[in-house]
Amino acid sequence: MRSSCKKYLAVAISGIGLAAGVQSALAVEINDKLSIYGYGYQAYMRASDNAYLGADKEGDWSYSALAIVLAAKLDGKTRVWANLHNTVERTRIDWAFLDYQASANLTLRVGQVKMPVGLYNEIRDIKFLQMSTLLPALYQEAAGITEEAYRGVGLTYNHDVGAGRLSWDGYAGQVVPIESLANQKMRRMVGGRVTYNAPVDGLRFMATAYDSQVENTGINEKSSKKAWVLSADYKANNLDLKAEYAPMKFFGVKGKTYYAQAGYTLAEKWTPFIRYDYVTTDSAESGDPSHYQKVASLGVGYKFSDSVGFRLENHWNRGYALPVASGETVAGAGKNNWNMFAASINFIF
Amino acid sequence: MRLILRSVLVAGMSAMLVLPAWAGDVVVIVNKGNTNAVDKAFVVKVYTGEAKAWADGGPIFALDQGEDSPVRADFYSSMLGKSVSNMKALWAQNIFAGKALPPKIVDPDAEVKKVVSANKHAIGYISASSADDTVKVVVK
Repeated sequence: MRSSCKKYLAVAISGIGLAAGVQSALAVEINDKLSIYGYGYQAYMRASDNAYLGADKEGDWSYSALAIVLAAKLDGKTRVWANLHNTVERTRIDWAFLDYQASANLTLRVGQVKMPVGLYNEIRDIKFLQMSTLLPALYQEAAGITEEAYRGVGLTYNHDVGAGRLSWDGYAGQVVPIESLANQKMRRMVGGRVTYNAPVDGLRFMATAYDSQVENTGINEKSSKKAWVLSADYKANNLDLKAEYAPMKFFGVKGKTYYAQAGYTLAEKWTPFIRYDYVTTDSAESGDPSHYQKVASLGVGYKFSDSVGFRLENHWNRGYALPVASGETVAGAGKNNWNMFAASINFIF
Repeated sequence: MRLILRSVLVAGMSAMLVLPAWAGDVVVIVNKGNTNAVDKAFVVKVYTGEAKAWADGGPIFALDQGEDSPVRADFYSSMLGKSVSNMKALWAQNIFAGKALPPKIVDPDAEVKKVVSANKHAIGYISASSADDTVKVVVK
């Protein structure tokens, strides 16, 4: 593990150097048809009690990633995108798809496409574009609400509504989970998201819903996983406000999560932020601390440039549903009140 | 008192005359053969990645100016109402979500005019004083 840490730290540091070197261009353009972009982060995390995301009392450096995004223009209307994502655990293609601009308002996609869910799912790994190193519970793998991508076909249709604008995303195919589980087989899925960009600069609302069928091969049981998300976002005048609410049902178990987050950017560099987050992985057991988690977060981000940032934050937790759901802490054996500290460097190029 | 009121009125009218001239320092240009309707709202959609095709279905070939170009910051603030930093963040979001690729960097104004005059689907911006009859000015 130590050699892994060193390796990834070295990768992150070289990535930062690269990012700092090419920040003006935000890309490596091979030619008129092919561009390479990238992002990464290296975090240090420490959990005061319950183990979660690899972090424990001793602290941990393994929460890191380096990724490359390739974009190739086949012609004026057709592009191919691919994202190669590397973490301590794995290297894989998170998404790769063909994108066709069918008309002025309609885009079609086929392949493995990042799943359009809520405000963050499509940029869930790009820490530079987020306020906090730790995503809201809604997007954390342990909550089991969002997925990585869909493998199939999708479309985006945009049109004006008065002075505002509506964007419709629809897709059908098969789920690509954030992490594959040995006893789960993903079957069909269908879903969509509608985004309303209000006439007020920086204000948008979203509604997302999806339904997927998952088979538990261990017990030969199929279940529909249903989730929907309501989102509100205001980002203008240095203010960044976000709130989302998401209930879900999976194998007969109902869960839900919601959060509200606020940040304010000072002198285009510093962004202090606060967040309150609630999640229950089983609404029927929502009084049990191993099935709920309330998180109050406070942190600050600093942008060295338009490509490199640093972040310090602390998360005060009551309940430990996510450490239990991730399998890193045993139900009933966790500590009710605990906190998690995170420091990270993140970059894009 | 009348003299003061008249002075205030004249100063106010002068300011009204000066402001539009200042706001029009940057103009948006397209190819002379491009017959699609273009207004400020459409320009905003193009430069934020929302619009990728012209109304006639042709692909939009958007041009941006380099970071060192004085025209770029003027265009972002006067036409899009965003800072350069905000625009970078917005494009990063488009790129990493696999939604849209940023405009191609071309500068200075003479080079932008050259590319736009040679490409029917191109759209770009230049300082108003550089505009000539090789291109069509669509938004001032």
